[in-house]
Amino acid sequence: MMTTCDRELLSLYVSDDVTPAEREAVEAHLATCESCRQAADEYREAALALVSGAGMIAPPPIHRGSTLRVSALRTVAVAAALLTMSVAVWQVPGLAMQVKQAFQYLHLIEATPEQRVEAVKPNDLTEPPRQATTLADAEQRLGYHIATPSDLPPGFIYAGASVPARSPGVDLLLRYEDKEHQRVISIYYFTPGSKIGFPTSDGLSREVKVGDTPAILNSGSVTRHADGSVTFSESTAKTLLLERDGQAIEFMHWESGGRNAIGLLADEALIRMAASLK
Amino acid sequence: MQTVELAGSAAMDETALWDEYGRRIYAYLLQLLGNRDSALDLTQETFLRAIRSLRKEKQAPANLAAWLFRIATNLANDQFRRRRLIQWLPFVSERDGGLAGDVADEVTQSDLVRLALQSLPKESAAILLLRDVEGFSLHEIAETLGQNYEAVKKRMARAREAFRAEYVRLKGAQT
Repeated sequence: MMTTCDRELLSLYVSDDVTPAEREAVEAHLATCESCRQAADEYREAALALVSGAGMIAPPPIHRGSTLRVSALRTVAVAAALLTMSVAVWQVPGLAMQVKQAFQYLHLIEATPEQRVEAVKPNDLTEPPRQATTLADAEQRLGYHIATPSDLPPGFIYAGASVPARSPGVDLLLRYEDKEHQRVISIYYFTPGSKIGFPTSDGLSREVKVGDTPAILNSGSVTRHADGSVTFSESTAKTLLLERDGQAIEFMHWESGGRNAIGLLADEALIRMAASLK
Repeated sequence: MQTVELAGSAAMDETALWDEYGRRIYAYLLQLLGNRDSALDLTQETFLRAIRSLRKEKQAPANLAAWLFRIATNLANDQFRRRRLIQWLPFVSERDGGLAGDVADEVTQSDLVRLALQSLPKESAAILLLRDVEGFSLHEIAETLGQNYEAVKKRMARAREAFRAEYVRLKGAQT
């Protein structure tokens, strides 16, 4: 018989995590203890509120099923299927876009080198994505030369490319990862001629040279807002911004999570990679 | 860990995986993190990792739910520990528009829950969410969090008490 108030046992009773004997003991105690009855009611009320709060969360805005099917597609063989599917996915914002991109990457990682670039027409969600199966094809569609790095940090491999949807022009993103998918380097090619400037932040930015080209290396994340403003935030990421033949190119390096994080590359490795763009 | 063969094509299983767990993982992370951007990022990362692993192993863990929530919880823990936002792509959220935002707009009627939950250590919040919302057993939670059963049981009791106390306090302050 539970003769004194045992809140630990009481809370386990409320979630039905007690043995029959414990349940009996708690119920006998509740019959005589107003304070524990009230506590039990409050446990239940709080738990119900928690469940109800979870129930009110809208599903992530994603076209069910479709996005994941992307990952199973083979770039060329099922282009038609991809077109049909992509319309549905690209019409919804938010997670759909992000997950779609993620699975594009996953898909692209597994594609053969000849199939490795998928480009979509930016800024027009009513038109299905267009396929480009090589960098040369992507270049033709985007209308500019895609300078790729020849000096990759040890262990890094090409992991895919995409044209970010709704980017204001024909921006392009290339992605490189180490083999454990722990560290990522993205190269963001701004639409040629875009005036993005070289914003800096005290304490986070420093001037460096990429070959002969001046560049800005930032510790932390740089976010460009729709209105053109830029904010800096401290993070473990680093960015390197330079301008090359009238085109702004930004390298971003970060860890994509994982319990065995091994830390970021040295600044010099990123600078060497940037200097090897051809 | 027991394993079962993946039936049918991997593509179908991946689709089913999202259909079954997409919303649950997202809601869990949203409540745990309190931030929609992070929840979206980590939901994406959870499924990316899961599918990579399923493709590699060609078989699914016997307790798929516990395994998925474990991936999600580990990712959330990493984020807390390292205090940085996992970023898939620079700029994406801003350019997509409307992605940035606090969880508040989605659970306006649950501000008390949100605040009370966020006052708890993250591990306590995770345990409560897995038990009450997901209906995991204590054994499953132990498996998900990689802890032993007795420790989880004690922690859940403490978490429930802390959550109740904060919930009641906030509710009293509101009225």
